[in-house]
Amino acid sequence: MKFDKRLETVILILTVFFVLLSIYTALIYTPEVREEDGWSAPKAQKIFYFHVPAAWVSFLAFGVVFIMSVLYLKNSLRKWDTIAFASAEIGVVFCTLAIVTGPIWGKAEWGVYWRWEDTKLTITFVLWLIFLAYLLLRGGVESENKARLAAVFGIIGFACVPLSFISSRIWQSMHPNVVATSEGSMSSETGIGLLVGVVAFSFLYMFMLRKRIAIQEMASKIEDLKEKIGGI
Amino acid sequence: MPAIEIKNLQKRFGRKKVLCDLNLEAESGEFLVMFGPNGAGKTTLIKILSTLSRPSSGNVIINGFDIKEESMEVRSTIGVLSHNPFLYDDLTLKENLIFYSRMYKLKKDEKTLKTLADEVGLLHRMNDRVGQFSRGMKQRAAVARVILHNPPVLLLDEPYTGLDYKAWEMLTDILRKFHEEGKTIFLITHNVELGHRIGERLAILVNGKVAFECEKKNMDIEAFKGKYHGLMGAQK
Amino acid sequence: MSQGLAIAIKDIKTEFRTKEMVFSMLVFSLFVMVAFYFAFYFYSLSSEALEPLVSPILWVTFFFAGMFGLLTSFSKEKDRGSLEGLMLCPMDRSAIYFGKVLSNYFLILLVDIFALIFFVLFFSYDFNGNLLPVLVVVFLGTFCFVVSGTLISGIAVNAQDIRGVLIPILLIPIILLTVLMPSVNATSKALEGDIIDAIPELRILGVFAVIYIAIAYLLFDFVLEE
Ligand SMILES: Nc1ncnc2c1ncn2[C@@H]1O[C@H](COP(=O)(O)OP(=O)(O)OP(=O)(O)O)[C@@H](O)[C@H]1O
Ligand SMILES: [Mg+2]
Repeated sequence: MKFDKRLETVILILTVFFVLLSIYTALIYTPEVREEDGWSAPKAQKIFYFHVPAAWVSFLAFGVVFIMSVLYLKNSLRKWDTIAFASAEIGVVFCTLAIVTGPIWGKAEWGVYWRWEDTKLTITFVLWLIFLAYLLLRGGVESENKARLAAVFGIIGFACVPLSFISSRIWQSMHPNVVATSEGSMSSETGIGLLVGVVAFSFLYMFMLRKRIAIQEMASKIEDLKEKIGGI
Repeated sequence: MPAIEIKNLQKRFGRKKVLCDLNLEAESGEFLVMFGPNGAGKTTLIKILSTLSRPSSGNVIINGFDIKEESMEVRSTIGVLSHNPFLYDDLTLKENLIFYSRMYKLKKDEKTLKTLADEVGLLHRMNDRVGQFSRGMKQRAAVARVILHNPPVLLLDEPYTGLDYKAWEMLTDILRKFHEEGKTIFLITHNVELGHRIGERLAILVNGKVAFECEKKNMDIEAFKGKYHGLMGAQK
Repeated sequence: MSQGLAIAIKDIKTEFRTKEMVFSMLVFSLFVMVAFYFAFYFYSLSSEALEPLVSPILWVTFFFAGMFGLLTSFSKEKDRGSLEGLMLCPMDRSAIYFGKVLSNYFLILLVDIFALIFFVLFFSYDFNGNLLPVLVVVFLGTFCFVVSGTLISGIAVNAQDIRGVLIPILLIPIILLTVLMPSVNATSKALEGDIIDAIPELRILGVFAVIYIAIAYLLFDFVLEE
């Protein structure tokens, strides 16, 4: 119990620290891309230090849903299901961030919000749809039946993703390669900027996940108490 | 060897505990009758025994097969009859029986099917669609489906619902015959007189637990009724 | 496996006895074609302008009509209680899935073929001898749709309360990239007479069909259980 509390404090401190740091690295530390290199909106490119980590965390979160679903089907322990549900919710939030920040940049750079030829963005969007459907399937009501069905659906949904990436090579991708400079190698500042962003968002994810699970556990405790009072 | 062996069985739906630490045994060839108020968990128990529903914890062995590990073997040893006949309305009785014998990988010729239909008194309706049957005829047809693969263990969940006097007698006769053949029978019913008359051992389920268990010979019907009514009130 | 086949035969037999579902699927696909026809009414499409629209129109019709079939394939058994009867039979639960896949495939293909005919009639379209390659794509794409859709409809039926809307909600995001896009692409290529060109898409369809079948084989027990 005590260890848990301390761990939470540590995660909170790290989250705050890295989030602040990532704001600094993204906005000030990292160099601006140059128009000579073919960027039409250099300032807007900075959004990538948030877009890429958000996308990364959403994939991480959905990956966690996948793993927890497999574990839940294996031994049907409630805790796996709780984690899967919490992770799906947070994943959808970060995924929303990723698919909102993408078009904001797209508008500035390309003049259009969305290019469907951009397969990475499209797959992220489809993933967002899949997990939105996942949340709908769960539909607030807590029951073992739904937990099991949602686990199966989570596995199907996530299994499609890596394969979609492979198959999407057929439709040539327009997704910008932000991390590479015109020479094809990543500048170290850009790399650090992205890394800090990813670390910050990952800690944020961890923090939110723990909070969400705690809320869930609290809710089920309340239900237990209610039953004790109401039931004879 | 007991034909049905239930140990510490638990079943939860979400946070609701429907079966708690249920222990029950039925010897091979025994006729066990279970009673219990509405919502006691009887149907849930039958569903777990017949591998339709997975227990939250605990073990169940049927004829030596574990319901979790050897569900396939369990399914071929049991015959399940409930208020729902599990038949297809758009198929004739004969087609239904042929379909189910395929599902059980049995080779049934015309004659055995006819004998089967005759046994439940539906020989003349063999080629009619089950959808046109009355409630009681459907239940008779369901009996034919259950005994199709000659299962050594029978699980019956209120099979008498909707049967007229004749069908009632027919089902009782069939159950008696099976009992004489040495089949294990687990019957759930709300009819105390009937259960007491045909059963060998009686059990009462209340709140997901076996609240009372006795041999019929040790308890006459009036005493048992009194006991049952006493326990009824405890059901939440 | 023989049991799966028995289930499929039983399904098709009962279906042709009542014709409820096939008939409503056929009428529905006809109406979708009519809707498309009226939607494009003012454009009086030349055959050239129509060309890129052919495969999207076809697949949207196939999918929405097919979803009708998926809707009833489990819910009928569930509502009448016969699903429990099937689950009591001594076989792997996946046999139920395979049986349903077979019967759904048969019925939906039938509807697809009628939809193709409706399309030809409404838009007076000429396949120019490319009908055979198109049919190959339709057969494979529909198969992939059915293997994923049957799995999803099993999930939706057991989630009871909102299952009517649940099938499209769960199925559409799943098939967007894995079935819809490759099928439409491959059909467009086949319409140009290049079935060889469409091989990458056909391969994707094949791979995803295998993946869905594998997932269903592994997990269908969990879908049906209570
Ligand atoms: N799928 C389910 N989800 C949630 N609760 C369920 C489910 N099935 C049964 N229950 C609950 O389990 C309890 C026992 O139900 P069950 O059907 O086993 O009772 P029963 O003893 O058969 O009653 P009856 O005499 O009315 O047939 C009930 O309170 C019921 O609400
Ligand atoms: Mg009951």
